[in-house]
Amino acid sequence: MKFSALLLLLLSVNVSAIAADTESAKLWLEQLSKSLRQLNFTTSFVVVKNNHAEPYHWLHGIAEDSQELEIFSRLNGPRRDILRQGAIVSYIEPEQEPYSIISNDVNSPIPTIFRGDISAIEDSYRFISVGRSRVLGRVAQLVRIVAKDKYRYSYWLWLDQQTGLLLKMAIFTRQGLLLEQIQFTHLEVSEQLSENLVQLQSSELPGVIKLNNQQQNKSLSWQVDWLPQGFAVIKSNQHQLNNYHQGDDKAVEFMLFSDGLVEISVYVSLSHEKFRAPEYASDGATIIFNQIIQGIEVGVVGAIPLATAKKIAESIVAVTKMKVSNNTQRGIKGAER
Amino acid sequence: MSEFKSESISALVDNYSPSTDDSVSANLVDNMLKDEHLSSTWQTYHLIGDVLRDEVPQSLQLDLSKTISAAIALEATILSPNSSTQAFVQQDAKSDDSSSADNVLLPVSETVQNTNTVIDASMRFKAKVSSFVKPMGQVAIAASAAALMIVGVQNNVAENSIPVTPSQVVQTMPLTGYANPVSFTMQSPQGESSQQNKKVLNEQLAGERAAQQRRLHALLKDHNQQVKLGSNIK
Repeated sequence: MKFSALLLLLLSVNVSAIAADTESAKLWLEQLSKSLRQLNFTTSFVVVKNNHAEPYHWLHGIAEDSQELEIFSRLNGPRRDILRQGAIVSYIEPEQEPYSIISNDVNSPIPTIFRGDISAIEDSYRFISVGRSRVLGRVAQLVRIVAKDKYRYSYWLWLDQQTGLLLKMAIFTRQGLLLEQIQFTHLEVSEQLSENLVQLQSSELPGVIKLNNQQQNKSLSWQVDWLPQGFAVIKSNQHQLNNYHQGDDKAVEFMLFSDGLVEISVYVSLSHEKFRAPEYASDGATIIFNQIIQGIEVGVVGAIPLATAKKIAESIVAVTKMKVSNNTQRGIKGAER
Repeated sequence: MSEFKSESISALVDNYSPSTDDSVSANLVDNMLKDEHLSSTWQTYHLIGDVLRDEVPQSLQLDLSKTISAAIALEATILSPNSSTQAFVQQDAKSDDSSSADNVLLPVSETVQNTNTVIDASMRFKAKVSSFVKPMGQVAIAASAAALMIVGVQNNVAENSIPVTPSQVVQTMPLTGYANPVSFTMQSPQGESSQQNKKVLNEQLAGERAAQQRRLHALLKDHNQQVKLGSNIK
């Protein structure tokens, strides 16, 4: 009798604790978003995937005119930098001339949603505050962003107790297999803009390219019939896919979907081959899937499980004449299914 | 006298021996083995030493031998399974007896049987009660232990900041199962099947693999590029 009373008491404590966990997890993620936008910080981190590590430098600051300044630079191999002045994002890469685009997104190893409104992914992911541990010599709060279905991965974030900044991130499969992680190796929060950012402030970024060829959503002849809940089309177009092979470019129909945290690219083209068995590769959490069925080549790329990529690839169907008239709606329709 | 002996025991506990120190009398060990009081003093001093050196085990067992003998004394219920089998065997014996028609012995064995069953019944009752009570107690203890563990784990998470997950283990060996020095892990059912006649198809396979890698790499590169260029649907 005594024991059962004790048990009941404990259970009730646990239930209320779980509800509190979700609430506090969201508060932590909001704090992270705020810190990523408002603090001056200088950090280094290492992306670990496929058994090799890539070190990065990341600087962020707020100029006097309250413009955000940001630098990401990869430290190993050829230079690969991302510079940002407010809404102008410049990519400096070895493959092509430096260019800038007007964008709110910075395509860095750190998902963009972390600096945005985290409640945008609330429908597809659960937030759980797990506990504290020590990361980077600091007290860290572990927050898990757990996928609500089996079609995507879960993200674990270790956030600095003091500033709410990211100290470590890991991407896990539903079975608990670690796919990719980002470990911060240095973190410095300061009042002043760091020297590099002061320099960036006065430097001129490469010219902003116009995305004319991407501007309009051409009507496509293929559509995706199945996507995990929460994914919506954010872009679709036709472009040349450089195949690394003597300028043997290939025209593909392209669709980009996002659930707020993860992007999925879908490529469809007609092939002269009739059939090619599914082939895939993984780059950390990102899967690259490709197959030809009945003369249609389908490629799916994104940080999703293989089964999801396969299911998406298999759901490609030709657009019937009626639907061609309104392609934007079509994409969204696909996302709803 | 006793004071002096205690002192010498203390010296003995602190690693002085009769040969090196005067305060330890030569026949102290012999006396100690005979005298129960002295041997308990010896035990207590060791315990004090352990406490001072912070070497006390988690659950303090002051005298193991006493608890064990007490437990053995209480363990009478073990007889119960034997008693039922005994009865069964004797019943068998009885039927054997009757078939052999040895009538003289039969009443004797009957009486033995009767007394036996009486004893058995009382024993079995006891056994039943104890076997009923025991699991209940065990369940209660297990439940309370589990409850305490839940509390303990929760507290640990809050205080010692250790996540209840295997992440700590995973961290030290990142990306197992994805071990590949190249930037891609490749897998294709086609490639596997053609491995059977390796020598003939080796070159073809290599070419195929290279083409496959090119294709997949092109996709990955374009994906990254497209994500960078961002959305055109506002």
